[in-house]
Amino acid sequence: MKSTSKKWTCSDVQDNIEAYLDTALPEQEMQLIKLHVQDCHGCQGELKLAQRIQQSLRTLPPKPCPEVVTSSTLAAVRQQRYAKWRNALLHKRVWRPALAGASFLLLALLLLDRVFWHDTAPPYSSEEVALAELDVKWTIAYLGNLGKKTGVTVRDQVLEPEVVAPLQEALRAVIGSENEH
Amino acid sequence: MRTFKKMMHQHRDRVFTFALYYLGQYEEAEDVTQEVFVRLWKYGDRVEAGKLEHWLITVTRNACFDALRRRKVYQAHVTSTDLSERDFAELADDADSPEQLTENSDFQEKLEHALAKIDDPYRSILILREIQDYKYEQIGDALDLPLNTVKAYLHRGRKMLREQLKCVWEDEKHI
Repeated sequence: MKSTSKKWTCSDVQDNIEAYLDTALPEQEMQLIKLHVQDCHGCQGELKLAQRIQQSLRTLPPKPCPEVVTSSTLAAVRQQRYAKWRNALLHKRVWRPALAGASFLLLALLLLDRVFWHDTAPPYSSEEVALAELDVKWTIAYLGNLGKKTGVTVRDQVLEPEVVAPLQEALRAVIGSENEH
Repeated sequence: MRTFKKMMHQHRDRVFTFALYYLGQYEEAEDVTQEVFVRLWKYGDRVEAGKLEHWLITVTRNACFDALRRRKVYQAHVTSTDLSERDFAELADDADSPEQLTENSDFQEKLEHALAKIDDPYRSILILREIQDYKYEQIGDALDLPLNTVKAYLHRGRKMLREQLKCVWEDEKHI
């Protein structure tokens, strides 16, 4: 703020013209500027220009926002909303609980099936298995006896992989399935 | 969505006006307006009740800074270095009446040119106070400046305009 004891120069006045126009200066300074401007042609011009700027600024019209901006903004917002929804769907928010629920349901169904609807009757009884085992033994014995009578030697290398092993395997399968049940 | 539309219709002209006078370019102002309202859609629920206007000023101003930054980067790659005349001509086209147009259009056009060239925060304060008629307190809140500083900057901004428009004024006086 300029000291009021001195006379104001043009530069002092012109530095404060805007504040003067807004009456934002102390009364004493307002008077000093007023007096200076009355006698100073240059400062009168500056004051008029400042007034013109102030008035022109205040009469600059507000600009209506083009409709295209509104529509494109709404379109962008809709797109964002869709993207947000899609992300929520693809990520944890929906799929995780859905998968957990589905797994739980599946597990529950399997357990229920096991408890209430399992097949109680085994495919073969133990008597049938014992009979089958006996059949295999008799067959082997018969083949051995037949070999002795005819003089044809059925060698173990042939008998083992071709007859005994497949029969034993079939027998094991039968016994295994019976034990399971 | 309905609330958002209502808010947009209520505030879009203010946002666009600020952006257009700040940037002096239609397309950039349109982009900024869209950006501001998309941000409002995203973060609107975080805006405190009664602070929407304040929030909009801050966000619009920041979006204008970003637009200017992008313009500088663009201009660094392209030969054109000044604002286009077409944009300012379009700005001047909206004067109130035909009489005012003939009387003021040239001066107003020059004024808008000058306004788009002065530094911030003077430019923001001039637009908010003189063109958009915001209160000093609202401006201070939005720009995070004390009240007296807002007033001092307003005067300084108008003084900057006066210095830039001196030659236009001299020419007008001679006509």
